[in-house]
Amino acid sequence: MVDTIRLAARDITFGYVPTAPILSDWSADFHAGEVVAITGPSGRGKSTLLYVLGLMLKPTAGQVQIDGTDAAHRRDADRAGLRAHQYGFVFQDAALDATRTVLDNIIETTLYRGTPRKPAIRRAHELMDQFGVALRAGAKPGQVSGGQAQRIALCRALLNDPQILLADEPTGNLDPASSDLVVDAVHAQAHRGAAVIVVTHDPALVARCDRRLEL
Amino acid sequence: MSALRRWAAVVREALATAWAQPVASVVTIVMVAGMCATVLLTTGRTVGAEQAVLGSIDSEGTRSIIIRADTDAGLDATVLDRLAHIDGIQWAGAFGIAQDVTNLQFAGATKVPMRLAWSSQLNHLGITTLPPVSNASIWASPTALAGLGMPDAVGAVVDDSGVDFAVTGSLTVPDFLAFLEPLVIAPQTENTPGTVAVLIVIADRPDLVAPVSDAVRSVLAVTDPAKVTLTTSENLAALRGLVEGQLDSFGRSLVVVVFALTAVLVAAILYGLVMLRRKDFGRRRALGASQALIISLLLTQTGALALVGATIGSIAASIGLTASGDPLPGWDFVGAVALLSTTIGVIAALVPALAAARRDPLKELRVP
Repeated sequence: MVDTIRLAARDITFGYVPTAPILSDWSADFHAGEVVAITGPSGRGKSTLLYVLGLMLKPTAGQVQIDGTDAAHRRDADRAGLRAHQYGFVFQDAALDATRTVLDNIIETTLYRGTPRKPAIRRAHELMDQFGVALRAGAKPGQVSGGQAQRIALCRALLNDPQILLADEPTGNLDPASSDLVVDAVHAQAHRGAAVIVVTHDPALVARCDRRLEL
Repeated sequence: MSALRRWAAVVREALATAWAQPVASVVTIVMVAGMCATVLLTTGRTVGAEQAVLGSIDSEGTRSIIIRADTDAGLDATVLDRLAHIDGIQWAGAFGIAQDVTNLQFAGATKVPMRLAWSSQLNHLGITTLPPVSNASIWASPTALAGLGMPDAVGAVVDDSGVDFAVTGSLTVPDFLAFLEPLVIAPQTENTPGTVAVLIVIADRPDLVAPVSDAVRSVLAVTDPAKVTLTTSENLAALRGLVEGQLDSFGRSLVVVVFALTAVLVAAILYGLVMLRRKDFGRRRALGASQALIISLLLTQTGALALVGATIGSIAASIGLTASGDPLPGWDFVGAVALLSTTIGVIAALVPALAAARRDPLKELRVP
């Protein structure tokens, strides 16, 4: 499984200001079943790279290939469709909708994928059981702890069994037990054939990754 | 997922989002309700006044055509059959020569004129069923009943030749028959022959009075046209058209100005509300929502809230106009304003929706 290149960056250049690129001719392969840590000092463009790989930013040069096909330069609706169907995201601060319940947050992406709600709700309950937040299904994000919020974000990311899982500092604010739960979950997703890319400063998390890329 | 189920999912999500954001939703509802109520309480009052003025003019018979025929002119009730083939006629009725009747119980009592009457639409006068013996039953207006001394519409009358008639009921006299008051009629079936002294035709619209008059004149089939006079309300209809045009123009200008001002206000506030939710839209975009979906969600949400606001605004304004004794502009106008308010609310949300859809997700998601 690790021989299959799920996601690849090919000579990526990107800068918020064209004259000052943050990433320059950067290339890497990310294999199915592999958990890769991206590390480096603050300001080197780790999160920016994650968002370029996540098709939220278009590189000024180079390609982001999914299963061998460039996806970075496709039209916006196609990139949105790929994010909805192929990707799972765990953001730095969980990024939950504070006005909706935990369950609503987890199944939010069904609308973007155009998939039925009922199976998604069943799957969401399974994931909430797995990550120990089942009792919080009807709560609002403001009523849960930071660790629970991050686990809820993980449930949302895993709902559609993504082939590419991107996580930005997923253990940043978590206690060791919660961190272990998150790390176990991303490894489990990798074992299901996903390419997992984690931006982190957490040495414990880096130590458990299959590979490390330094920016 | 089929297009219909996908649309239903968008509507459900839009409603759920509106429900989950009560403050923004209430502000939107209040704004649209205010816009709707403002229009109705200003231009609606103008339109109501216009309709009242036109109603007053119409009540004077702007659409009526009156033909008076001498006894020997040769006009008979068969003219109604011929009128039935003319378009643009709302009502037609023929009335015979007046003959005096008086209360059977009081010799020497007040005399009132009674006429034979023909029309296929006597229900407009409150007569729902014709009597089995046409020349034995009469209906009388309240004025005529008072003159006959029969306020309860019960009794009998007798004519100068000694023939008596049972009073069967009270007539509802429309404005265009007021000149025949006090009115007592003996309804006739359409195939009962009889000489007609007065023929009244009501056109569908004031502007049809002239052409309908010409058509009516052509089917009178009288033996001596010189013994027939035709009176129309053409001048009154022209005046009505002038008044209607001027009031319409004023009302339209007022509607445009009020809608434009309130729409700008609604758009500005909606833009502010959307900007407050930019993190929400950034997250949705990052998780895979397309720009089109973001726009659909926002427009559906605003449309639903605007519909609620327009309904509330319309009801509140109608209650206000009723309470203040002002004329209501009519439900079609109220409905049109509510629909326009909803549409304006949705259009006003379009710019903020486009802005929301084009937000860079990273700007909203990155943690400083």
